[in-house]
Amino acid sequence: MGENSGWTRDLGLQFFGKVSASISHEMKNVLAIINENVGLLEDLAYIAEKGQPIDPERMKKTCLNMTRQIKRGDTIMKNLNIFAHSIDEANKDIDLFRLVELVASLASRRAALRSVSLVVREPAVPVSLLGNPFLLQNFLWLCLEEVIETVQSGTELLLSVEKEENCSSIIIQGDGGPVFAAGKEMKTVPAAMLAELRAAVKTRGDGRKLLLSLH
Amino acid sequence: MRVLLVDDEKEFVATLAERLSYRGIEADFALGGDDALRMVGGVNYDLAVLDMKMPGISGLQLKKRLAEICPTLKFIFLTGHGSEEDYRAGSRESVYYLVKPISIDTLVGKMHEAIQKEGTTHG
Repeated sequence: MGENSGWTRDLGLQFFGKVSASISHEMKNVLAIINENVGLLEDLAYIAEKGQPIDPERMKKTCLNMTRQIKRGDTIMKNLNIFAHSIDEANKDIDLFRLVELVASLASRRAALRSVSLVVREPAVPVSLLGNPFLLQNFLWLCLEEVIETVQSGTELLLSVEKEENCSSIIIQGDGGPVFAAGKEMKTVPAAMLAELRAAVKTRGDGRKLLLSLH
Repeated sequence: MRVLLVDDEKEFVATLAERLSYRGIEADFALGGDDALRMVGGVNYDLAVLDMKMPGISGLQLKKRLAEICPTLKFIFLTGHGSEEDYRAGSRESVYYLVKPISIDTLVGKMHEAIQKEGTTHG
């Protein structure tokens, strides 16, 4: 976490806590669905013991449900592992699209609670930069938190990345109204974080587009 | 016993409803608060089993609105959230606050207990 200054540690711990809470909740749901499907197979076996035949299609459907949940759980845990290891190196080459994809995935449950969906568009050419991946994830998470609270319920947020001559950008735009009030400050992002990342937050088109520029 | 299950995880509630039916409990399910509010107007449910965190109306808000429509309805919260804050809020507002995953026998036992308890819901 860079210089290990107080603000990075405090914000970082809050970020880690929120992500862990969200992921543990999602994993509880995965386990609950598998638990019910296992229970259903037990129920069907019990019914069969009593002489009623089991429909093989019913069994297949139940197994398919479990396979789907196991894949869902595997993706969640892979993302958690990548996220946890993002604190290993304070300065490394970052594939910006992969980072945005990871944060969007971590924030998807939070967004869903406000009926907001997150879509990440892959760039034609990879965009990479040298920096602190954990801090950058934290920055994007904080921005997304504010945007998710700002936009109307039902909004689809499109996240994309761009490389310009002297900077890389993460762009957040909605499919309806503004994603952030033009001229408003991102209140949860401290100035020290922007300085450390050499980042700037700008709005375009009356707040319909939010640009997170990284120099 | 007629039960309304409310959870945004469709595979969870649909499977749970089927398993409850094998145990003689008539269970319908809704995937969110709006659906639940529509359904409770037309059917006399004895008990509602609610998730705490759902898109749109939260479980706590939904419980209050359902209780206004159907004052005799009993409530159980069944959630993946295990935070202390949620536990305190959920326990204040319902007979039981249960955490997923849960065994069907435990759930059915709590359902029967909830139905038998008097004056345990707070409107």
